[in-house]
Amino acid sequence: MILQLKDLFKWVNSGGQRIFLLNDIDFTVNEGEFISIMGPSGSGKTTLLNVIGMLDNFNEGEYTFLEESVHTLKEKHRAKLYKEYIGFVFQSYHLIDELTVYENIETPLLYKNYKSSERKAMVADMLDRFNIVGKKELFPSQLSGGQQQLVGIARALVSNPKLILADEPTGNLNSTQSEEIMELFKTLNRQGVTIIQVTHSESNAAYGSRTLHLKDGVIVNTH
Amino acid sequence: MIRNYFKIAWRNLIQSKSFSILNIVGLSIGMACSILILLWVQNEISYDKFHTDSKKIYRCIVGSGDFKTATSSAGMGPDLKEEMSEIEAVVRTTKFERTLFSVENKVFEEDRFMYVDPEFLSFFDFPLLKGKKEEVLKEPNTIVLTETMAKKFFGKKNALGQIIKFNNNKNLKVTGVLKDLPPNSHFNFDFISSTLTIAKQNKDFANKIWGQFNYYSYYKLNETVSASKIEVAAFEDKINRIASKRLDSNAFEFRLQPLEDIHLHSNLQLDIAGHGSIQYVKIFFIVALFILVVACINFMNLATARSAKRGKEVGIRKAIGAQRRQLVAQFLSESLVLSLIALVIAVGLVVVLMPYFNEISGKTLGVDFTSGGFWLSLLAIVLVTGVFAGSYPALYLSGFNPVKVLKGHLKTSGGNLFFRNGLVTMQFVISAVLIVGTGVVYKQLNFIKDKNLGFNKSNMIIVPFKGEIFKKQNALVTALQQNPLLENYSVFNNMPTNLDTGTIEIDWEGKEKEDGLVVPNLAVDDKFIDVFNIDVLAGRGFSKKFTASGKNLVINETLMRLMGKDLMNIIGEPLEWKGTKRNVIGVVKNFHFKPLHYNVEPLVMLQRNRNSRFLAIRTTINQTEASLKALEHIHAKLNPAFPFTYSFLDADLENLYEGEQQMETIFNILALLAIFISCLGIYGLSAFMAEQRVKEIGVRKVLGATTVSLVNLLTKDFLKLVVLALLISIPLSWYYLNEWLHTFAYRITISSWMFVLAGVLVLSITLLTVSYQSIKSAIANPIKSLRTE
Repeated sequence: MILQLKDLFKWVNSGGQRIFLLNDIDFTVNEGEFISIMGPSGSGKTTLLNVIGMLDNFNEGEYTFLEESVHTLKEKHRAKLYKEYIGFVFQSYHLIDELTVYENIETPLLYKNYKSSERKAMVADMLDRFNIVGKKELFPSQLSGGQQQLVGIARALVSNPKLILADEPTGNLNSTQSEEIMELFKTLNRQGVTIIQVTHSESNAAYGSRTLHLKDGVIVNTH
Repeated sequence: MIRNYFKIAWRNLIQSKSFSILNIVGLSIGMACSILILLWVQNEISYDKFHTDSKKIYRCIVGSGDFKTATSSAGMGPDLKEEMSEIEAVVRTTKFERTLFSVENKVFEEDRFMYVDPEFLSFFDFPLLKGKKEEVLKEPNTIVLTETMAKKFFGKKNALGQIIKFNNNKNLKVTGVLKDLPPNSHFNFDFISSTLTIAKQNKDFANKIWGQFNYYSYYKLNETVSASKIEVAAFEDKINRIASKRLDSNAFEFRLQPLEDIHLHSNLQLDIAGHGSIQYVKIFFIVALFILVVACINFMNLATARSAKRGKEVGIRKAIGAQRRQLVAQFLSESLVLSLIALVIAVGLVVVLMPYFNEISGKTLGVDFTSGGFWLSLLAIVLVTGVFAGSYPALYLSGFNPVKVLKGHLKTSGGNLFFRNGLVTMQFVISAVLIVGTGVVYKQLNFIKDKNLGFNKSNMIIVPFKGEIFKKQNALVTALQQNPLLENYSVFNNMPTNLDTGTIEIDWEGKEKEDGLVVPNLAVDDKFIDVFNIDVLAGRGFSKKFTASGKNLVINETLMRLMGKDLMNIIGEPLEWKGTKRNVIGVVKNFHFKPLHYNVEPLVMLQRNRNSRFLAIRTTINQTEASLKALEHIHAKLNPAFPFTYSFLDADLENLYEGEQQMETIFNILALLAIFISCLGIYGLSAFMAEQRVKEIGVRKVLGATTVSLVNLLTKDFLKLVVLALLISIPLSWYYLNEWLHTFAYRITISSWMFVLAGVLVLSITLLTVSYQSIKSAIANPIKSLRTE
């Protein structure tokens, strides 16, 4: 088991009313799973992903990540935890425009205080693995969407996280690029990386081992 | 990691060029200003500290009532030293004398010559290039001159042992050459000669007179006394007790003025010229600091305004594991890189501008690139500026919530907006205060220039006597009388622009004894009052039929009132002057015989046809040339050895306020720069604002908003801040400018139109700056801005 959510609620108060963003979520993820979260717009997919990624807080319930109960942790400790074990992939890639491909991939390692020689080796490894060695000196604006997302994934993977959280990773890509990215996820998953993705597309969801359907913050079914 | 920070910082600077240029221009101008002013301040506060014993040296000064002078007598110092063990050493100097030196056939007229006691060079630290400090002034008829003067007089020849003819009547032997005086010395002599030279003919020196205050004396006190203020005060009391017994009068108060205070804290009459003022040091220091602050505010403002752009980056970095302090470090390194670049440019500017600054400020400052202190202070400037300017943006930007900014929900929070508005308001306040200041200073100096001094200052040629003229006064007067061009002449003993005489030996019936009243006096000929166009209110002026005894006095209104008389009953009143009974024959309207810093003091005018020192000639504009030629001709005949020199009275009067004029120039420049830098910032800010609201403007335009209403929308926010700033600046500038105006006895009152003018100026400058961007975005095609979404 890598993480477990138990009786988890998240809400906002609006005009005296309590609106539930996440409503009584019970959910366990085991190591090596590839989970897809589906649901209509506003159903709470991204919120759930952010909660899992510890970027967002929740109001009630328990969250256990690798034996640590996240809800009792201090902010600093929590940051350390997700920094160490979680990699993020975003729909609009979110690469840093001022940095080259190489530097974008290197940045997480800087924040984890790896030595320069180690960083070089790890980034080189990633560039190799994703076949983008030739593009390492380019800036994001010089790449296609698919290539940018490739860099985004490489950046998420470079520090060997246990869990990858991907928020509609192919949302801005055409179908060919989408397929490539999903194939890549599948391969990574086979190599032992746990993946949770939010997606709108049934075909993308099919790559996963399990799909979670959300509606109005409630898990409506799992299969 | 650090390298990475700087790399990113550099790329960010390159990427956002307009942002960087606005900031770097502002910061480098601000820094250059601060460096120049700090160098000036450092020079001002370092005066006379280079003497080894500077903390032990005091100048003995004397005051009588409100009349406080920097001078003391010839006899008191040496006598006191013999009596009192607290005094380790005493040296005296005379005032500067205008002197004619001749070397072989060359003639030099010099202003900065004085006599000093033989121990002068051991007492102070003025290093000699040639000669031994204990010996050079030991003999009478010796002279020591500075390196520059030695070069001027003797070229490459060895100056030592050369003979200089002094005022055509005596030979002085050069016994030493001084290194040029440091610029931070309150003494600014070029030549010194031993007082032994005049020990016999000068009665004050020969008889050790206590009661004639025509000299400067410096006492070196022993460690125990000089170390504590209380001891010094007690010692002053002791001196005063001795002096009042010896002078048989309580009218005088002697004080010991610390040497290091002379330059900045001295407000005495008859002082050595060229003083600074602690007030100006403070004002300029603060203004320079303000300019730097304004530049820093630009950075803060622009950096936070750009937060929408940087927000995404912060979000990503946080999501991939950046801690807040790492982000803070990153943003701080950006501002440090920026301020470092600005500093390099600033140092370049300082080097280039230094000669101009020296010209304006009348200093000889330089940048000493070999001094560690200089580099250290530069480093301090970079660090302080970088950290100060970068801290707020760094803290603000690094505090973003990654989820929100990545979703694009970045709203300018109220706190941020408030802070930014606060900063902009502060900039406007500073600009407005400086503008009001510029106006008030300008008005006051014009007021002084145009003030009716009580005499007519236009078309008046002034010729100071020198050389043989002193002995040939009758011949001069005869020659003047023969030439119709020169018939409006007057000879007198002291310039009525900055009178440096005064005595307490005056008495009338009913005068309080020892009230400390010092009355300046002016010895003039019968034509003086007419030639200067001074109004006679009662009685008459002096007449041609003058008997040598001269028992008649003309006084001014102030003295008349002090005597308790009025215009009806003053004529014929007896007045005792320097021990002889005399009579008041006339009263003149008050005229200003001192700079306008002082009120019109009581004045006694006496008639004397000998011992004049100045000649004044009233001409008309058309005749000035011819009159000068005629004068020169007379001068060449009577006084062939001396070059003919003259000046114009109105120019002399303006020179009295040279310090104020310098201050005005510097102040104007600083104000201009502060406003310019503020404008840079506001321009940048308006650009970002327009960019941020581009969609809103597009929508409004599609809905039918006119260009005018859009420009109005974009400028309104700034104008509100300007108005607020103006309101704040009124009491501030009013207070500080009144403080400055109070250094003048005659001053303008600050009136409301000055604030209105400043307000209109600031408003229009702001409008101009902001309107470019506003108009640009208001007339842009809305389709472009809306299409992107």
